Amino acid sequence: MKPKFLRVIPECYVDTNLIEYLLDAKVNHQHSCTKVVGLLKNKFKDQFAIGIIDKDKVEMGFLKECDEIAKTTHLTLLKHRDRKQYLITIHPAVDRFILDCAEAENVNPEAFNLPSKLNEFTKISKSVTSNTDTRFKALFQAVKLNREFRNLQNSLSYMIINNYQIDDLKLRELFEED
Amino acid sequence: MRRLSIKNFGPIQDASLDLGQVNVIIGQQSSGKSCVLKTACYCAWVEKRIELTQDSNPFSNKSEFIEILAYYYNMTGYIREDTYIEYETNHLKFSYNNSDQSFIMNWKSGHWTYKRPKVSYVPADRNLVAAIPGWSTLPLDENLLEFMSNWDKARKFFGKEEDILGLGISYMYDKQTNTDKIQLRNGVPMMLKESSSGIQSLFPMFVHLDYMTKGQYEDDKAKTSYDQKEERKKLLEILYEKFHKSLSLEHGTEIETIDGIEYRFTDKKEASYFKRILNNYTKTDHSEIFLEEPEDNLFPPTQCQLVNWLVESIRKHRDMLFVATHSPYILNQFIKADPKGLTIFFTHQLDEEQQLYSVRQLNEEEVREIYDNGVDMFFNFEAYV
Repeated sequence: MKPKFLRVIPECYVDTNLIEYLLDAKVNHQHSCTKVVGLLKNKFKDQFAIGIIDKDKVEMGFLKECDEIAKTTHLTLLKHRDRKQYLITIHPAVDRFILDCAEAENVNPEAFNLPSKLNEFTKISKSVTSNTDTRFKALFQAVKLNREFRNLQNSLSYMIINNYQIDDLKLRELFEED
Repeated sequence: MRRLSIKNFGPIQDASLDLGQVNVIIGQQSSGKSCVLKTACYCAWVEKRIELTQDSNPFSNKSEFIEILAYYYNMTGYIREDTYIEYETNHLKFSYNNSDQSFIMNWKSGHWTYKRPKVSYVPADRNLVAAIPGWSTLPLDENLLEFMSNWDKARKFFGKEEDILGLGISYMYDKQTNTDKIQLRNGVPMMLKESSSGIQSLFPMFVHLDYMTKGQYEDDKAKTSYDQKEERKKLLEILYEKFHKSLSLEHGTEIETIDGIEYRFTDKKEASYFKRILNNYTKTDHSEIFLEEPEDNLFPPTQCQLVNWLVESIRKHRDMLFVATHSPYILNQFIKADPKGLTIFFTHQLDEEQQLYSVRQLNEEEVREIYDNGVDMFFNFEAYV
């Protein structure tokens, strides 16, 4: 059985697939950004946790309680002002992020039996089986050296290991590293 | 202790379940939840039949065991050449192997500790009872007819239920017209069949379960019916004969009169032991309820209220409850209401191509972890496989 990081809370199936690939672990998949933010605000109120949501559906109320600490083309890392909680938003959404990263690495999703056009790719990424779909895993493997993929992986790993002792400067470095 | 194993039956390739007092099974559509629920209910019924007759022969005739199950629940297509079902409690253990059509039953050391349950399956299509007035004459499946007949007994017993689950809606059975009515908070009466889909689903289930967990113990009519008396008479003969054999009472000198007939025992202690066993076999001790999708058409807070009511209702007689659900509200409310007495199962795929599934049982630590971390099990099966 793979390790479980239940304080890492992504929304949507393909986000979960991506994060689980990057961490080689199981995470706490929630089915909407309101559920992710709900867990941060209520269940983990005074505890360390990381939410991962698409930028296009951000819960504005919670966002206003956070400060931006790092940013890349598609990813923004936010930290809650009063709690040891982090939120990563993906801009504009995870499907576009994956396609852009693939393009940057000259990887064609069609080589993995996935569509390269956004609307078709989105359709598949919304399917309930996309969190275990091995085609996505193969695509991630091909794109794994992409800078944003790598930075996301490194900063998540750093946060999981250090949780309450996270150094935000070090985290920023990892998140924005060239 | 209640253990069920199912192999190669319907979508279930291999499943072993240790059932507790409150059990919940979740899983994707067509992954075998109802198959497990129906098989568990059937096995509880078979155990009861064997106990009340002290005879397993009716199930030993070739494929009789599996055929009754398949006929009753419309599962003929589920049977495979190598279907295997095994069921074990403290009282007995039986298994059916379809490859050689063998049914084997053995008594266990707790044989005489059996306590008679009332076994009931509450199907997902229960709302039909509100919509079909002459249901008893229709060619519906046996499972649904059985539920309808149980519900009929329950509604006649209760007559009226005030303010169900705090919804402000009351239920009434009208004897003269043989119809079900409800009364809204504002006093407006309405036929049950004209009410909302949620009410049509909830009320038959509620009235039936209220009878199963409470009403049946107060129902004097049911206790003194001719059938009950006849059954007790027969059971007394069967049990005494078995008991007699097991204790070699040929030379007993203690004579005890039970139901007007004299029986011979070694001493007073033995006679009192026998009477206690007889009582356990003839009087319903508790219910074993197999409930399919209690959430049907219900507003989420009502689902939570229903779970709270269920957990409270089964407490008095330590009823056994096995629920199949697609609702995170139902699952989470069970975890919240009774995390210690709860056993959670989920179906998971073993073979994608052939759509074959197994059942995984969460341990206490995992249930705690799910609750503490707000894990939505419906989206995180894979983390627990």
